[in-house]
Amino acid sequence: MPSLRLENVAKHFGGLKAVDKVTMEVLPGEITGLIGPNGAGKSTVVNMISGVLALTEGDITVDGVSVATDRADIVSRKGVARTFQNIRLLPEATVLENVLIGFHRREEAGVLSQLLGLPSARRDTKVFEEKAWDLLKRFRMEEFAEFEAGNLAYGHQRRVEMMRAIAAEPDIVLLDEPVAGMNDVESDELAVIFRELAESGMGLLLIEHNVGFVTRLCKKVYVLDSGRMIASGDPETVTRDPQVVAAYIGTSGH
Amino acid sequence: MLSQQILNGLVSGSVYALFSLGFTLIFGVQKLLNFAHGATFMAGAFIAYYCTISGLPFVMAIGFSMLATGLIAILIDLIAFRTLRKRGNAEFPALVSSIGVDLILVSIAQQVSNTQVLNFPFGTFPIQFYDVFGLRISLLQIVILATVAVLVAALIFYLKKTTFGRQVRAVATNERAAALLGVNAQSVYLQTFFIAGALAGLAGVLIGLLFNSIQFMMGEPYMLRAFVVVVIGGLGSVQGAIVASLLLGVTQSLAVAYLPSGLTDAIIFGLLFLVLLVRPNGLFGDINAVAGGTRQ
Amino acid sequence: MIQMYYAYQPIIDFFLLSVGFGYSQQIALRAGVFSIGTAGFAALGSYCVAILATKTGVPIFLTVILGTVLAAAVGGLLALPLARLRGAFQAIATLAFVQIILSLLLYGEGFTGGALGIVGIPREVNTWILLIMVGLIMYVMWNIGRSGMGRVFNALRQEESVASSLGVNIGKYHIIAFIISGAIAGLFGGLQSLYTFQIEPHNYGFHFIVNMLTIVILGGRTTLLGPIMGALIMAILPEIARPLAENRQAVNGVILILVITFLPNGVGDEIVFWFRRRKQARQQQKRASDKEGNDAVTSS
Repeated sequence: MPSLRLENVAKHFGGLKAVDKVTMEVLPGEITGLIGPNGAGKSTVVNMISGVLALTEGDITVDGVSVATDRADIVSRKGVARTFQNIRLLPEATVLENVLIGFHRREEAGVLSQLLGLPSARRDTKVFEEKAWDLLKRFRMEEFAEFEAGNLAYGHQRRVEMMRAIAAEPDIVLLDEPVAGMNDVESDELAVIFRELAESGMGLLLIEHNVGFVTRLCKKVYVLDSGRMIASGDPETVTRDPQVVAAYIGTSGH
Repeated sequence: MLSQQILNGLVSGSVYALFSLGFTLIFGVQKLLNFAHGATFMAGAFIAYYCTISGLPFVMAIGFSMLATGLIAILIDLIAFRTLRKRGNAEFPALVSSIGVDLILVSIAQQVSNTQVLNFPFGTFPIQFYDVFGLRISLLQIVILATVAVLVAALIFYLKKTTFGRQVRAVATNERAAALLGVNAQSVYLQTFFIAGALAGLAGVLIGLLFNSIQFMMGEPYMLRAFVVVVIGGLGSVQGAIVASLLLGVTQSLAVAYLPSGLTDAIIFGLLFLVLLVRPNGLFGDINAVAGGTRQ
Repeated sequence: MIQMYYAYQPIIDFFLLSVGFGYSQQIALRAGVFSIGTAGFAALGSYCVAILATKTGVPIFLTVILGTVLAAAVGGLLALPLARLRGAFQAIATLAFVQIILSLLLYGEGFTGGALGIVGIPREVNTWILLIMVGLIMYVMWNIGRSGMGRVFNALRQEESVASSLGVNIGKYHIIAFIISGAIAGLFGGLQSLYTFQIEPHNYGFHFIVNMLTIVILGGRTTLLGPIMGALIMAILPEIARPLAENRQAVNGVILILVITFLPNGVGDEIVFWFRRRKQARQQQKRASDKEGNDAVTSS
């Protein structure tokens, strides 16, 4: 399984250095954390990896091959999936349909066979539907399958985003604040799923505001503050780092 | 001959500017295309015509017509845009509902005029020609150029130097942030629509005079030309609209004079395509026209 | 029954043609492409067929195929520059495309007959052929709806960034949508030529654009039923009351404003959604009662 590497990645908006020379790695089969106070540049990092924002400097590689200038859909095809911090669902579509679109890059039928309804196109839909139901069961969302996604509760919407992101079995998943707004029971349920995903070989990058959740799950944690990497290492060392403590106390004090 | 064509082109281009400014202003503030702008323009010519033949002095007829088209534009905002705006993501729905308003206004004009072509009564505007450096220029052309120059200057002053201008730009950049700063977005919308409508109405009167012909379909070609203008100039850009209008007026007048007449439209709209290909944001535009998928 | 058919035949045929053009307009909107190019594609198909059928010995069915292919190809080419553009700009560019086609038709008099158009086109198309062709297009649209392509179109319409993050090549699917929209409009343009005896550029002007938009907005932008409901209402309205027929454009205008403001999904889509919701509610109830049953068993 391939790993994701960021090498001296920087993003400047005009004179502002939103992300400044960040180097980090997401390894397969592990949950890696990226924490930092609000406005530290975490989402900018996610957007650069996933092909939404262009890099000012540096390089991003998947399995040793650069993806730094690839379009978002190509990054996704190379096995990097993501969720969005501000949830983005297809609001008119049902939960099931939202998950089904996640299988897009596994589609095998060509354009013509889709137009003519040939067996290969029907097979795609059938296989994806079965897999989608498996995911719904795993995330305990079966009973909402036919609900319009826009009408779901916040926590359930986050789950839909996650199912959609992991549907096509990516190598790397970037989870942008996956447990924001969830209670402890809900986030514990997700923690179990995250561990299972990592055990299956997926590399997870957990972008979080909530330090507690990250330190419980992650093997390695990176800390961003004002666009700079101020610490990295195992969770215990990092959370005791005076710079990290200062950065957090300086803001909201989680 | 060439310079005469350029002069004529600048005159019609200046009317395009008057017309397109309102359209681009509305887009700049609301990010919505007001397709009923052409019908507002037509309404301007109609109202001025009926005022004139019922005996009102021409200057008052123009003033009344501008007031009326300003109010029509406000009505368009209330009927076609307001509800959609509240719902969000209104770009396409607003285009559709403004087409609806356009159809209604054109229908009314058709009924009122009985599908006839109307002309301002003889002597509404004195017909007088001057020879300047070998160019033949009519009093009407001079008045049009001067009026447009004054109005455009006033509008730019209004937008750049007054509190209203700052409010307009605040709302255009970010409505929510503007609201937090105490800017009343509704009043900004009303004012921009009123200005846009009044300018379109005046443009309608001027075109009605220039070609001495007023009819219910007259807005359509101008609406289509306004699209060319705003795309070339950059949607939402005031300077861009002015430059592109003059450019379009001159191009069109030259194309009519030197190229097969039937090809004028193909050339103008071909030009629009070319600009979209090379500079999707127009010459002065700052609103991003390019679709998602590319890194920003 | 037969008599009724003869009495209403022109309306039925008009309805079927509208449904066809309606699907061309719908597929673009469904994919989140603000194209109003259907008029231009229809003009291409219609003129291609009319010219070939009146001036050459090409078999009629072949002229229709050629017209369809031409419009599809132009659709694909048009999509190349347009796929980069966003909503309003796409709408304007497609409008410019229609204007270019119309002015070329007016200009190429020797070939297209200019403003007078082409007359004496053999009348080869009847209600049954139109019905079969509408059925064919519906079958294709149904397949799209059940396949990955339909899912991608739905995703593009609702949230482009999500589609892109899941590996959807936005440009590619916009091109596909344009090609399908072009092919359908080209096909029905050709059929219209072979139905009406005479065509002129004016047929594909602003009124055509507005009528197609009205059909899809009124009917619905996402379901198979959409264009059918839209075209049906627009065909029946003028029959109900004379003032409605005389003020067709104003009626169109009122419908556009009211529907887009108060029934944004359109009549056809709303009907489909209502049935869908009812089905969901039933399933929900069934699941709940099953669960209760199970609980009762386990607790006893």
